[in-house]
Amino acid sequence: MSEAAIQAIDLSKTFRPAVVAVNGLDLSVPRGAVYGLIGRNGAGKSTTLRLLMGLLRPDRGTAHILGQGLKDAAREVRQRVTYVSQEQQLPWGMSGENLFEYFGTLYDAWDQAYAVELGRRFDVDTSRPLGTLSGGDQRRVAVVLALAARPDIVILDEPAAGLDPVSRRQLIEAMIDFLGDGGERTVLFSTHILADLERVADHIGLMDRGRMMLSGPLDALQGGMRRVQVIFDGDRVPAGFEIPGELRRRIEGPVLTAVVRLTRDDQLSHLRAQENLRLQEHPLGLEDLFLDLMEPGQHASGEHESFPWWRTS
Amino acid sequence: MRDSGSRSDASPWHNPADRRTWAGLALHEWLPVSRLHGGFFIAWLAGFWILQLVDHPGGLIALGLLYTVIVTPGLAGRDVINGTEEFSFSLPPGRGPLFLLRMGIGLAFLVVTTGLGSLAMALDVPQALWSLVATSGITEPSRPVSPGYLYSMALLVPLAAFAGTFTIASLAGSRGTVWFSWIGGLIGTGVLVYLMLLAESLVWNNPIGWFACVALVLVSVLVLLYGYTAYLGKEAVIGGGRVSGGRTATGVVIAIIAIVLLCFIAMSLFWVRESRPTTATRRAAENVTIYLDTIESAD
Repeated sequence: MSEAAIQAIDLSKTFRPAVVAVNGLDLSVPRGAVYGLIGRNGAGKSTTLRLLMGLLRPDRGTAHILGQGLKDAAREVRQRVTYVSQEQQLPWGMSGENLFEYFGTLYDAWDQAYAVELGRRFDVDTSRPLGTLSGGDQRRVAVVLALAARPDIVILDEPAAGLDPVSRRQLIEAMIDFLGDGGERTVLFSTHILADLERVADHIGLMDRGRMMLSGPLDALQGGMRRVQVIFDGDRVPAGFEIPGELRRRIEGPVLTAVVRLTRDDQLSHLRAQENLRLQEHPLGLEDLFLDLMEPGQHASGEHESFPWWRTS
Repeated sequence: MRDSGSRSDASPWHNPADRRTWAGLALHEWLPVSRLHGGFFIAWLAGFWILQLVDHPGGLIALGLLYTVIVTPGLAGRDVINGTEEFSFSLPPGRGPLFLLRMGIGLAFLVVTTGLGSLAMALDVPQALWSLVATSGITEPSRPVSPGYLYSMALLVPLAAFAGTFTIASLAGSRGTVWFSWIGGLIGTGVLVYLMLLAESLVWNNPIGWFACVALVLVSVLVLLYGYTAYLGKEAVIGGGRVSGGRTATGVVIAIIAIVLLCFIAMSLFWVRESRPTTATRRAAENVTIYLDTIESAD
């Protein structure tokens, strides 16, 4: 993988009145990556994707796809990117077949046979006007359009939202097919469904309150993240005690539970050597990682805490 | 992976892919509004060329304004109404061609119906054509209408109303703004015409409409230019489902009532300007004269 296919630097967007949706976001999606963007509702995922697509104007920062701001890019660049939005409406008077024909005039690499095949695989009636189809069917048509255009970059905002488990599985399989067709395809998608993400993504970004909390290859994140529990002999955690690489902490009496990013094998060895505490270390699955990082942490005083690296950034 | 493209300065017509895109986009933009345009076109053909119900430039102005009220908001703000702006903006052509094509459809219709219609009326073409098949009976020669600038106004007033309405509807962030964008367009045009005629009356005894015509052209061009520039940077209106037919029908009914009222007001304005005794004192003086003449003839 070479240069970034998608890049955002210090991207910020505030909606009136004073709702900060995206706050100084940095994002880099390598070419050929399948990048899953996760975060709680309102974390700013959809706004980030819209900013990348040039559908919204950023207040600050830059958003580039294939090295260009997409809003002002030439058709030659724009036709290499497709997008399915979470709340996207398609022209209700047109049928899927009409849209296939229309997309054939807009995208140089449009693959009509693949569109028909995907439509059949998704079991969508492409001869009926979209206004008469269910929300799920319309969403499937939108995904067919996005994939059959054979773009270099696909951006999908909650592609599986509102789909039943069978359709979700078909969607994932279609994505895998699309990625394996020989081209260097890049996919950026947001989701709440961590199982889907684990199945197709090779990179993830975890967003919270408009910022990127964690970003990187999925294997490295999963392999390097641990839940570490430190139990002190006394009745409370000593003031100022910190675990190296700690991202998130929760304190309950003498027990400190933290999400820790391990970068070295001996990162916790000095803690293990201490006699006034016991240390337990557990690997974290993606779901555990998400829940541990997203769950509001508490100080002993009851105040919400933030991530240590936020305070220093 | 292909090389990153860059903004091309070459004409889109030199590139077959671009030509195909423009053609596809044009068809996509035309089809949803084709029936409405067809209806207006048939009404124009029947009323102007066949039955000749419209024999005054004011009739063409009314037709143009009706088009502005009923068709233009849906033409320019269709994506906002249907909730498809996010979809349309994310397609390869982007915002610019969308605006230009929709504007082109509206302008072409107005130029053909009101512009060429007015020219044909001034040259009495419909009558001449009819005289080839019927030289007597229901047809009669058209009389020149005064004031003459109404012929130019038949194109320029609807054009300015269209420009204002189209720009407001294109830049709208809500369906309500789209539906009632014509109010802004019509009020703006009315105020402009009124002010220009007022300004002319300060310069000449009888306004000839020259100021108004020039101002209408300039303002229309500037408004559309502003609309285009602003549309290029417009943020997509997110979400919103399809609007039910009921609301559409209600909007059309309200629009028709409003346009009839506005036409009535506008035409009464022209009528007042054409009739000489406009002041109460002059009418009183004329009444006194008539009264005295009556007494004299009785004696």
